[in-house]
Amino acid sequence: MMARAAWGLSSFLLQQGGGDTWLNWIIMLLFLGVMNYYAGKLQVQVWMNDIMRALGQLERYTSEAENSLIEEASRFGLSRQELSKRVRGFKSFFEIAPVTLDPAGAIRRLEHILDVERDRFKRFVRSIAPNADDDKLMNLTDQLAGVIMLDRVYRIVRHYFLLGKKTQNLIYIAQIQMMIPEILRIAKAYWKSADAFRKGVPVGDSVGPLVALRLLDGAQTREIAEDVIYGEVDVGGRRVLVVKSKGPGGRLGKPGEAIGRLVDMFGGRIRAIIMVDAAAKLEGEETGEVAEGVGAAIGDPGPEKWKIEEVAARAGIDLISFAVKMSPLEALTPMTREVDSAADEVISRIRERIESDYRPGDVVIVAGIGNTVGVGNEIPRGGRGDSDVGVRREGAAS
Amino acid sequence: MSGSGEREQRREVSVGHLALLMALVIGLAAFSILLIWLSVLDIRAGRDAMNAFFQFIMGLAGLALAGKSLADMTRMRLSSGEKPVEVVSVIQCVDCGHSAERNFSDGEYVGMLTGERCPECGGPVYVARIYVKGGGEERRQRRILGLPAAA
Ligand SMILES: [Zn+2]
Repeated sequence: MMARAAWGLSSFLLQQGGGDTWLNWIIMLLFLGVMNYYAGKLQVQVWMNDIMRALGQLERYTSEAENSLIEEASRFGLSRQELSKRVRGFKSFFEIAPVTLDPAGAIRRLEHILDVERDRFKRFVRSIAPNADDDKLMNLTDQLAGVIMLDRVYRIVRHYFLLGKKTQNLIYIAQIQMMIPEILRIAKAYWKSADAFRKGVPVGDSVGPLVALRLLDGAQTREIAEDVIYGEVDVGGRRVLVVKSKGPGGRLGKPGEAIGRLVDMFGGRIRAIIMVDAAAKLEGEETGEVAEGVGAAIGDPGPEKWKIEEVAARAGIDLISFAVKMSPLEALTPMTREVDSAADEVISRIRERIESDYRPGDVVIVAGIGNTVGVGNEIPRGGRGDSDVGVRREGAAS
Repeated sequence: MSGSGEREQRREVSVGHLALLMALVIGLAAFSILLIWLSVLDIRAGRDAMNAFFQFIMGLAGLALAGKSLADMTRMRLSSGEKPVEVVSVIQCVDCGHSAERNFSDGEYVGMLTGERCPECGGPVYVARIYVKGGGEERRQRRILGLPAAA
């Protein structure tokens, strides 16, 4: 198009001028030809530069997250040198998804692999921070997971960068270059999350457990499944069983397991399972927007979601979900004020839903899904005097 | 989070780097304007229209490039101006509900009794909320969409 327009124009101008415009004309054509040839190469060079910059950024993110982990862990027993050696050895940890060619029992096999992985992580973190308490260990585990994730992303981007460089294949380079903004956004979220988990600050993803904690409103809680607690409150005469993972360490727990056990315990009396979780917002949607829907709101790799769907379908229980919208970055970094207020809104909407749709005497489960970092298990209530102070501080992160 | 990473990001666009870029952009813009001016003179004088035309096009392209670079630079400055976030704890009295906001300190979590005493009634105090102030992303998006600053 451009070339044709230039052609037309230059031939028009040619008729106006004389003599040495000919030379100009030829130079122009040559210039166009050369540009055509080099434009592709130039484009590749520009893209390679983009990727190289991103790679540098990813390397910085990874090493900073790693240093943050080492520094934090060094407070609990081991020397920095020893720690950096061990973390470097563990950084390339991987998990292999179970085969789904024969889908029967794939969920059970996946759950087993995830159990083993979690156990392996716990053992490793305990070995690098022998003097840390349980909650601190969980936060360190989350930090470690961030380091592993960042390292993995860095290696993949580096792979395609070097492959592109070696082969000069435009497709390799174009593919990775186009994904870079998204990759960097996610990497940034993991990099920033290191600080939140290090300090034990609630993150955006903690909104589910936060809703559960506030709904519990000081009720007694006890453990019902691995790393999951529950307590009972009364909402307008309906019995509400509130489930959350055990805080204030960064745990996810097994809410599916817990809900399954509660359904077994209460027989057919459970009318509904209401789940609350953080959900990725679309760009332009407001952080802290609350949406209601149906289905199991939980972002686990599969097993917990499957258990909840299974038990709800088997017993004919309503499966209702509330989602609090936020960006991936906000989900992994300290909770914003909007999300904190959204927790209050979710609670009032849950109460409304329970009081309008279910009868007094019905039993309803409310599950706050997400990482419970920085969110405790009970809110201290008034009129109990000072004796509680010592008792309830036992869970404090070091 | 006043992490070292924030500082790292800021260092990326150093003052010297910025000054050099600025000088280049200004030089390019000046040269482009000169080219355009020369081409206009040539056309006025009726000399070598072909040459003048190319000079004019080159001048325009140069100006556009300078403008684009300038826009990129202002964006660079904006992104480097990212402030470290400030985490606050809202503490509340168990007995009378009196609440106050202060800086978050390490080890605090929602629902934790802090061991402090309520200034109003002397009752025990617990952490009711922990969040960051600001919400820069939100504000930027609202600006892009042309919405008022706060909801
Ligand atoms: Zn008070």
